[in-house]
Amino acid sequence: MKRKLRVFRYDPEAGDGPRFQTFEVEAPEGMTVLDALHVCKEQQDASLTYRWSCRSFICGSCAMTINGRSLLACKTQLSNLRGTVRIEPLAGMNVIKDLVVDWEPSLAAYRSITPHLMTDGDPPETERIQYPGARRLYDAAATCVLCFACTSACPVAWTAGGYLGPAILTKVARFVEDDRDAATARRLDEIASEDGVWRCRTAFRCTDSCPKDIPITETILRLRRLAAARALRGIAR
Amino acid sequence: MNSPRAGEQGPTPRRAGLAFYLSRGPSLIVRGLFEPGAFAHAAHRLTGLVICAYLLAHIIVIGQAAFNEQGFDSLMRTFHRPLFLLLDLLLFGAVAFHGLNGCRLMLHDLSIGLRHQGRLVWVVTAATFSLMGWGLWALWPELT
Amino acid sequence: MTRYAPAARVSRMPAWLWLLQRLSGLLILGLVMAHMVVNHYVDPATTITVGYVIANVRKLTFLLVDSCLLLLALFHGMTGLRNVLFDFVSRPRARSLVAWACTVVGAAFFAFGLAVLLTVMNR
Repeated sequence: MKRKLRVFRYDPEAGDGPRFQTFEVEAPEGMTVLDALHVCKEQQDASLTYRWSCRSFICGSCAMTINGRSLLACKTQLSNLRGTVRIEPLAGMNVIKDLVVDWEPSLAAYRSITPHLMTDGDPPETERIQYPGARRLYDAAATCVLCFACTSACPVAWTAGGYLGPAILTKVARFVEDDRDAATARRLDEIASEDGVWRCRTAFRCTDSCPKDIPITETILRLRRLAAARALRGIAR
Repeated sequence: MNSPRAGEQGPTPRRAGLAFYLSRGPSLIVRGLFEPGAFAHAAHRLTGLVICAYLLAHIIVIGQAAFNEQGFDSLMRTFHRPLFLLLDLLLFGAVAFHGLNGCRLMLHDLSIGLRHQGRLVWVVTAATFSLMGWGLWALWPELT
Repeated sequence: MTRYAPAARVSRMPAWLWLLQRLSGLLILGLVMAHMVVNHYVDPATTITVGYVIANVRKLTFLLVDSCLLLLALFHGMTGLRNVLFDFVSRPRARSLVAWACTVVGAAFFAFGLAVLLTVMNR
């Protein structure tokens, strides 16, 4: 069965675009958007540029806007999409070329929240013990693959000002809710700025777009209550 | 595209122009209307700005009662005309939506009803229209 | 306490504004619906005149409700406006200007509104 793809093309160095190019591919059952892009690149236009790596929704490279939603190309089946498939780069980020966007502002935000475990005391002789119940508390948040589909879907992230974004806040929650981490106070301070956790408007687009089904809005709201408790009562934890 | 090695400058990304983003915008906006959370966010913002502008105008208008009595009485007679009563009804609807949606947001802040987020948005919208319906019924003698 | 250096000093303003926005919203909801219904929908034929306003402001409930509504609504509205404008303005200086402007406009309208209530009360 043949499917049509309308793909965003833009090459600032060659002065081409921005424009849409229509491809037609033979789509057998089970074909994903990423498979279709491979066919377009290999057989029709080798200049088509996009990020991809694992093809099994674990690396987070191939996030893009498909029919208006922020999705992973390797996880989205053509049979689940209706009509001509409109493929654009992630929304709200600068376009480098075709479907490749500039992740640097998001990665800079990531570095600013100290994304590694900060433990207390001397390291133990063997491993640190963590009970399954404690692990379950941050299980969902730890599944994040930093694909930034959520941040690209967030209407607040589209505006000015450098909102940290749902992906970064989920990473902070992953550490705050990890009982091996001893730097909760500092982490809550890192997200307490004007552009931090207070800018979430509960629009839920992040939760809808997460390919790992992380309950992002719920996570951010829990984190916000912790930040509020800290700011309003000066509790040091 | 080659990724930059450490210490190297990558190619300078250039924004696709405003005109092009505006043309892509509609597909995102139309999509957004069918997502209850995004619709509620936009409507909450719009009603908030409208109510804020009305509030400032309202304070000045009612202030005329203290400093300009004749003007006040004639203004109030104008505002009693059907057109203005209808606009007042729309304002009533805006206040109802903004307030009820605000209550929904406060419940979510306490992690209540997060799984029913979509349904709650439509409940709020239905309640708003019901209240406006009641208002229309109450105002009917004055409108006709 | 952790042995890691604390992050830079953070302002508690965003936290307070977030909380007060919600508390004021809750209070306003009840007050404003009562205000609109009583003035327009209970007896729609009443045209509001200066006489009506004077008679009502003399009643304590009206005076209290109106003054509270004035304060809370201006606070809630100006804070909301500030948040919306902050979405479009990112430089720290510009943001300070916006916050200051919202505060000044709110305070000015509150002062004017209070003056109106007191003037009418003394007629």
